[in-house]
Amino acid sequence: MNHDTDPFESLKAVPPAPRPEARARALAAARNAFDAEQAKKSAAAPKGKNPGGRLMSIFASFRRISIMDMRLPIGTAALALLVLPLGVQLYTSTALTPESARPVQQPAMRADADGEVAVAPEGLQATPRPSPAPAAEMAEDMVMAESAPAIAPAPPASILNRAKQADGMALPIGGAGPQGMVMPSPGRMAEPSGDSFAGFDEQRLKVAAEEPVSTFSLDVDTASYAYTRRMLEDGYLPDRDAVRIEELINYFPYDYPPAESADTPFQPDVKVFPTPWNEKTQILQIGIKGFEPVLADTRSNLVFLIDTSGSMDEPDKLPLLKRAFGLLLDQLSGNDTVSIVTYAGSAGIALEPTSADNKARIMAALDQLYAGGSTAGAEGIELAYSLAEQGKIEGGTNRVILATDGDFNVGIDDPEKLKHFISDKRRTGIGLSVLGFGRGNLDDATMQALAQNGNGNASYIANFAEARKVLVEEIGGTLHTIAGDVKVQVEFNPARIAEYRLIGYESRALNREDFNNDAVDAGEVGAGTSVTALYEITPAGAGQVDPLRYGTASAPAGGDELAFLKLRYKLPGSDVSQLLEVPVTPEVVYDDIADAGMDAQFAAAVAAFGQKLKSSAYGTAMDWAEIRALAQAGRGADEGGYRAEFIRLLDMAALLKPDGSASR
Amino acid sequence: MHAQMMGLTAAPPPDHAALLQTLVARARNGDAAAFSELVETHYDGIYRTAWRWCGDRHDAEDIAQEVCVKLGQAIAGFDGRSAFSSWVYRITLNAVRDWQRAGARRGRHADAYAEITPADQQAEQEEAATSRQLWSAVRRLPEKQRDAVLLVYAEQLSHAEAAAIMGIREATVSFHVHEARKTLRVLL
Repeated sequence: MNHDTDPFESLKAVPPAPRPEARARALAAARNAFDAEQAKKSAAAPKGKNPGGRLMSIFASFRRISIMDMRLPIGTAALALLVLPLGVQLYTSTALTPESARPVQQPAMRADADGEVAVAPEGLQATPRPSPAPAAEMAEDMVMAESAPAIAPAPPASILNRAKQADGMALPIGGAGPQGMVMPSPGRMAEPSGDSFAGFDEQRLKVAAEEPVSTFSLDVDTASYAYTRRMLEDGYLPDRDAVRIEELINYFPYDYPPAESADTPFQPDVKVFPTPWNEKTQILQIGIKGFEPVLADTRSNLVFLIDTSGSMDEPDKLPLLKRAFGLLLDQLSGNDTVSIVTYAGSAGIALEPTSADNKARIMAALDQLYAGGSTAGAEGIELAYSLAEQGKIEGGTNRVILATDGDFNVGIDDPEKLKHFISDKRRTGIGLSVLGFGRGNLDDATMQALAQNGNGNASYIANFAEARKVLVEEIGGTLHTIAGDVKVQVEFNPARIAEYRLIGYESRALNREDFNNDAVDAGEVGAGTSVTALYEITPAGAGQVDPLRYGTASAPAGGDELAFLKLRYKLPGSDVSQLLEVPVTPEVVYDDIADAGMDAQFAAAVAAFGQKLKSSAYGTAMDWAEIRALAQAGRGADEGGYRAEFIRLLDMAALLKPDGSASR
Repeated sequence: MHAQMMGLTAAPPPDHAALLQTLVARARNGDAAAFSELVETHYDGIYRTAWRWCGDRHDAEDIAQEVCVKLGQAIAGFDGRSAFSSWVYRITLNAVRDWQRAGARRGRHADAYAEITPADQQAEQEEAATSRQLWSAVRRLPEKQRDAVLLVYAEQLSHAEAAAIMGIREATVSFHVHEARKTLRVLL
């Protein structure tokens, strides 16, 4: 090992001295930090805070070192080697595994438009990460047989029921029994991620005379748009099931008339205008804008439950979360308290409930967070809820905010139990929202399910701009619920409307009888959020479905109303729902979409984009240029630049999925 | 044998160990003046360490400042289990690592920039081209090897001290140094 002259010896050379100004700056910064720390300590002291607590969190950043220090005996290490793979095996093969990750066992039968039946081979392994198929044009039938989609969890019973009520329509996709929930992903649709999405059946055309009532729960989530955007920006087409049209539409703010007071938290805005993709039909647009209370008057108790598993150690995950958190803090005031609980990797309380005006302390606690280690089970979620209960503010917002990249190993490992736990807690007044980060590990279905059970929304934070939108511009909607369990029921007048189809809201469908049942959970509307629902309606006489030969001659009743809209919602803290009713009269019918306003044009463009992107059975006739022109016309003032961004996405989608490639 | 020799020359602030200890104790109890003095005496060392690890004046200044802030936040939690100087080293090395990870994220521009700047810096400092090569080669070593070599040779600590700082066993430090030599023989 000995050289004549050890080259390393020359490393002894003394580096240049620091510049005095840098030195002075650093010393000043150090003193400030020291003083801030002392101030914190004295502030915390009366509460009997154990100074050892600080010490632990400091050493958390040297975790690796201290673990090494323990000099684990070889035997323990060997045992760990043995147990870890076992644990992983158990983890992946039991309760926590999303349904989706399991192979589809039954043969999937799907009726093609032409009556061809494609049979997926039995026991076909669902591949969560299908290798990108060659971009060459593949015969669509081939695709049907060859690719079993990664996702096929059991659909909600309500959807299944609907799927069973075959209404005689030959549909190009889906619709053949429960297995019809499985939608084939075209082979060219490279999915570079391990993200999973619940499959769902597209909303189908209904005959107003047979099924005049349509019921659904409002949905204010926007995760699907953020995900779709990210995939398109990276040059991939999103999975069909990742595209939920209502979430695309609801991503954008719309300028609906605001409600006057918190007592009647919204004022539905109803319009009917021609469908841009089908000249025979019209679109019924239902727009709602939630009441916006003055943010300064609200009081919030927020508990952040942060995933610190090793996978969070990527620039677009934990570091982004930290920066996003800074944004959120600026929105809070001394009325609000914040606490931080971590799970996976390092489990425990990172920050006791702290007044939000103590920003330095909160940020310091956040800076200590360090992503590392495997996803170890911990009582993360119970801890978070117990902190939330501890700091509960009566009449204020009490909410746990789960930030994760897809590891839901929060301490309760059965997803069903977890949902029940969350919905039980919801009844005690503590909600849950989910912020999704990163890509590749995201479990969209679980995210949605948890947020829905927790009366919260699931947002996907792909970048800083998105963090700003969710945590600054829409902070009210993210944190403060102004109306709970909002359900919409539309009854169509068969005398005026032959057929109707709800665009999107597949995962939000309710049974007709659920509408008046206050025990049935539905979507929440946050302060200032706008929600839009679109129906494609066919006027009487122009329907595509032939009337029944032996059907009863319907005796149409009731005037010239097209439909009747009913809304049910619960005011915060109330268990009894309120009813809002609005008739859809011919006065709100516009003959030209341009007259219906920019929002109408834009919403229609987004719906067309979504339908085309997911190769929907409907509305794919419109080509990209037409959609773009429509979106352009509906751009309006676009203060946040969101609509301009959408138009850029349209161009991207047009390149990735040229016109004609999806039409059948 | 190297270890022994180096062990003798190792000098964590050699003067007045007792004075240091009282300063640390006072700072831990919230004495701002004591903390201030403590940071003042350690700043140059921290800066030099940072410089050795990253080879760039601006980065070293930023890292040193970061470390000073960390010290201010964390001094109350310093438990005296290890020597104060080892503790400072650990914080510094962590800060360097964080900085370099962040740098990797900042993208290739930073890399390209770093390609140019260390050379500029070293021109002031070291005459021999071989020395410059050695520095950049050492900095490109795998993290553990780099840390071990720099702690032992540049910071002139004993293997035992380096082991305490790196949180590994003494023998492992020797192993990393050994590996570093092997790697460098290829590079140089």
